[in-house]
Amino acid sequence: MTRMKTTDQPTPKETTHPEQWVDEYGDYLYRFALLRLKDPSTAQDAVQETFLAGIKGLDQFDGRVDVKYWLRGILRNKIVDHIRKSVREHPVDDTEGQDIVDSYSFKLFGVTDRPTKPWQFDPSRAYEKNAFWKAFEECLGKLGDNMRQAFVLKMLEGMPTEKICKVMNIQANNLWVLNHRARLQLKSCLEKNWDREEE
Amino acid sequence: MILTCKQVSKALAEGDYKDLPRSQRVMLRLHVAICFICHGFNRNIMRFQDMVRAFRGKEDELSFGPALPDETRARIRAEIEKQRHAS
Repeated sequence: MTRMKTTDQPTPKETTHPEQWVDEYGDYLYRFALLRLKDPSTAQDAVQETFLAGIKGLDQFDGRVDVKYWLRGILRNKIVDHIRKSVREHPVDDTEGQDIVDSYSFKLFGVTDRPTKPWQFDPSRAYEKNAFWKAFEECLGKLGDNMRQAFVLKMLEGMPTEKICKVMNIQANNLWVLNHRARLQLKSCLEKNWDREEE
Repeated sequence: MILTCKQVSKALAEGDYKDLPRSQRVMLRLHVAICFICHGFNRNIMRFQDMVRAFRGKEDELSFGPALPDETRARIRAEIEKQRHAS
């Protein structure tokens, strides 16, 4: 008669040492936050808040994912909080892009009057190269705050439009315009900065 | 079911085209491929969605960028210790 041996593997929750978290995950979380928040001291605050929330919440942590990703999940919420706070201090100008929103091309087709120029290079061929992502991060950093926040929440974090509108205190059309502008600037920045580095 | 440009644009504004149910995704891609009105604009959005998806897959491996400054590390460690001894 065979008996099933229960696994005695310790869960991530049991094996993690919070006193080592800063060394193990500090840099990773900081870079994650810095990309999304841009300001170094805000990003550091978000990381600190994440670790402290992690300590407080460790008892409730079910250990089903790696501690790194659990902490990252907490950080994502802190990032949203910081964006919400930033927008309260610097509200989005919701008159910008009204001309696009009022245009027939937007009303009828959901596109802009001015056609989107084709890419000067095919970015998908560069996705294997780390240098491309370095340029991507730099270009993201060059966006205006509201544009970056809209891009981060919608495209990087995949947040539903309705929720972003609450976080940023804007209408769906404003979000659309912000993301449209963000994409235009990112495209032009990448075209400028990547082409030069490509062999 | 024939998709309009507006429906395509709305779908792309709401989320990643790769997350659409297969039949809708096929219809959307077909529309964008052949429609002279919205091809340029929506193809670009899809390209960015591809780019961000690729970035998310790569982000963990990338190691460039600043490290957490030493003073901040020390400050956070001190806060963590305070927190742990308080609970």
